[in-house]
Formats: sequence, C-alpha cells, structure tokens
Amino acid sequence: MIIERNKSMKKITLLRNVGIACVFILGAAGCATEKNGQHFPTKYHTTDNRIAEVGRRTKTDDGWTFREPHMDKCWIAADFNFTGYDTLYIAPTLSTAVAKDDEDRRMIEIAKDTVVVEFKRLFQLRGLFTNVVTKESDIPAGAHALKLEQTIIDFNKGSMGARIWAGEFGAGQPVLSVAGKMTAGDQPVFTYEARRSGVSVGAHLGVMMGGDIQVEDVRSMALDVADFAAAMAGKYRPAN
Amino acid sequence: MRTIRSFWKIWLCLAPLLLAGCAHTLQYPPFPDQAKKIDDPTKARVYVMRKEKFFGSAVGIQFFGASSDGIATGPIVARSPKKRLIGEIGPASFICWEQAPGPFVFTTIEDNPNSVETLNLEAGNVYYLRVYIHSGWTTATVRAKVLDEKEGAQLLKHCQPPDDYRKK
Repeated sequence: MIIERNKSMKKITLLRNVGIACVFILGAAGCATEKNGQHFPTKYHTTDNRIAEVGRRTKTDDGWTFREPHMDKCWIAADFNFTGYDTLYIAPTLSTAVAKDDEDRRMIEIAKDTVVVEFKRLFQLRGLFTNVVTKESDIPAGAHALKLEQTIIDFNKGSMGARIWAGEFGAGQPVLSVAGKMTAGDQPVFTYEARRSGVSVGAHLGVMMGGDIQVEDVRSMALDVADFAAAMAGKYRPAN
Repeated sequence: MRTIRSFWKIWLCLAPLLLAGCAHTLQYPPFPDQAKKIDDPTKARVYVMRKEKFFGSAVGIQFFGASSDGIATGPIVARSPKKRLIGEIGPASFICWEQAPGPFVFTTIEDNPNSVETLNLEAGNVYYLRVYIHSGWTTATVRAKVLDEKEGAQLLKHCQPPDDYRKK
C-alpha cells in the first residue's frame, strides 16, 4: 500500500516538474502573440550573427509601442516598416541638455556631431536606404525621403577620478540620453528615446577618457536603432 | 581555504583582462571591393594594417585624418578636436579606402604634432601603412610607418577586413 502511494506521488511530482518546465520554456521563448492571434517575433538573427531583440509590442491607436530592451521608448506608426523610401536625411542633432560649464558645452557639441556620424554609418551598413545624407541640400531631387531629427535630452560628462576608483561598479560614467523622431513629410512614423552610460568594458576599467566612452555609447545606441529598423524592414530573420 | 581565497584573488585580477576581449575594427569611408587591386582607377588605394594579434589587443588603434580630404568622416574625438576618425583598427586587422590623388597627411607618432608624414598619392597605385603600439618605459604610443608594396602585400595576408565586411 505504501509502495503504491509512493509510485503515484512520484508520478504527480514528475507531471508537476514537466508542467513547470513547459511554462518556463514557453515564457523564456519570448514570442509575442497579439490578442487577435497575430504572432510577432521579438528576436531576430542579424546578418552578422547576433541576436537583436526588439521586445514585445502593444497596439496603440496610431501604431505600435515596443518594449525594446535597449530603449526607454520606442514607437512606430501602424502602416510603417522603414521600407518604400530611398533617402534618409539625418538632421543636425539638437540639445536641450543643461551644460554646467564650458567643458560640458564642448562635449555636448562633440556628442551632437557623433550622433549624426554614427547613425549615418549604421544606417548605411544596414542597406535600408539608397542614400543616407546629413545635409538637406544632398537630398536628391524627387527623392522619397524620411527625416530623422534627434535631440540630446540629458548629458553628464562623468568623472575620470570616480572611474579610476570605482569605475567597475559604474561610478563616474558619462551619461547621454537621446530622443529621436523620424518623419515622412509632416507625419511622425518612428520615435525613440535611449539612454547610455558607459556601455563598453573599457569604460569600467578606468582607462578610457569620457569622450571615448561617449563615442562607444553613441555607437551602441545607433546599433540598436538601426537593428530595430532592419528587423522591421524584414532585413533580419526572425529568431522566435 | 587559503587556496580558494588565492584563486578568487587571482580571478578578480584576471577577470577585467579576460572580459576586455579584442578591440573591434571599423571604418567610416566606403570599403572598396577587395577582389580588385583597385576599384576606381582614377583614385589611389590606401591600406592601414595592424599586425599584432595579442599585444594591446583590447585597445583599438584610432587612425585620424584631416576632415578636408573627404575620407576622415568619422566622429571627432575630444582629445584631437581638429581631426576626424578614418577608422579604428583591432588586432590582426586592416582598414582600406580609395581617395583622389594628392597629398595624404598622417601622424607617425600619436599626439606628437611634429611627427607628420605626407604620402603623395598617385592614381592607380596602392599604398600600405602599418600601425603598431610602441611601448616605452612609462607610456605606450601609437606609431605608423609606410611599407613598400611587397612588404605591405605580404602583411595584408595576415590581417582581417573591418568587422562589418568580414565573411560570416
């Protein structure tokens, strides 16, 4: 009798463990299914063998809001997927960040330039548009163009001293937050907000200057935005 | 117990070095077709190579140019505000571009304004530069030197193109 009971207990435990494992596997897979049954991948295989995660999407009145893990905010218009346009114009970066001194002002000016340069490089590499230009006069006549306007909304140059002493734990890292808006004509089609603060390993070892760290931070931001655009445009293969 | 503590101490010292990994290689001017000796015969091709695989591999060598030449289109780095990046070179890698004939000015010793060399580029020719980290007693500096065509072509075989143009 006791042996029989132990056997049934073992079966129940086994079934429970299998059930829990199934829940974990399905949860970890991370695919998103909309209420109406549409399936949307949340991860994509990039062309350089990385996995780009765009997060789950939620339908809003005018488009889709993404819980993109690398951005604070991410939204695209309902009928927009970065295709059907031949030119991307990246406008000069603006800034609303508060500069405390001349050094801050100088660093913000450099960061404004870096944002344009890195977004141009990454969007060119993704091959979404025939032309990626940074001057309005370079937009070819009759081009079907998108405009990307970006604003630095938060800036801190960080502290080299703090990085040397406790950089491993995140101290003294520079901060950069950028808000971007892409428009087709006057209509916004994509908006994002992203923040970076010493993403590179070198930044945490206390060996990199603040300006160099910020270049790496902008590269990381531009990579994630360009990956998101490439995933939406169907340039990447879904991973789930 | 003492052995375990020593192990963790050694691990804590080594972890940052191991996590640092290798620096990436990227460039800002267009990367020409490597199957051809030269893509546009009206231009000259320039290779900048870094041979060393291990020494200083966590640090990318930044190669600058004057923004007026149309090749240095990368970001401005705070410590060299008058120059723009052409690219960054990781271990055993190279960057390559083609530009119009004329003088190409570059620095042979990093942060030394007097160490400037000029290459007079001619259309249809290929030029090879080698960059390396020179370690002194107290500091390490990046240096560049021009190689002849035979030496340069030989070294190129041991170097990889920028990350974005490697065959996956």
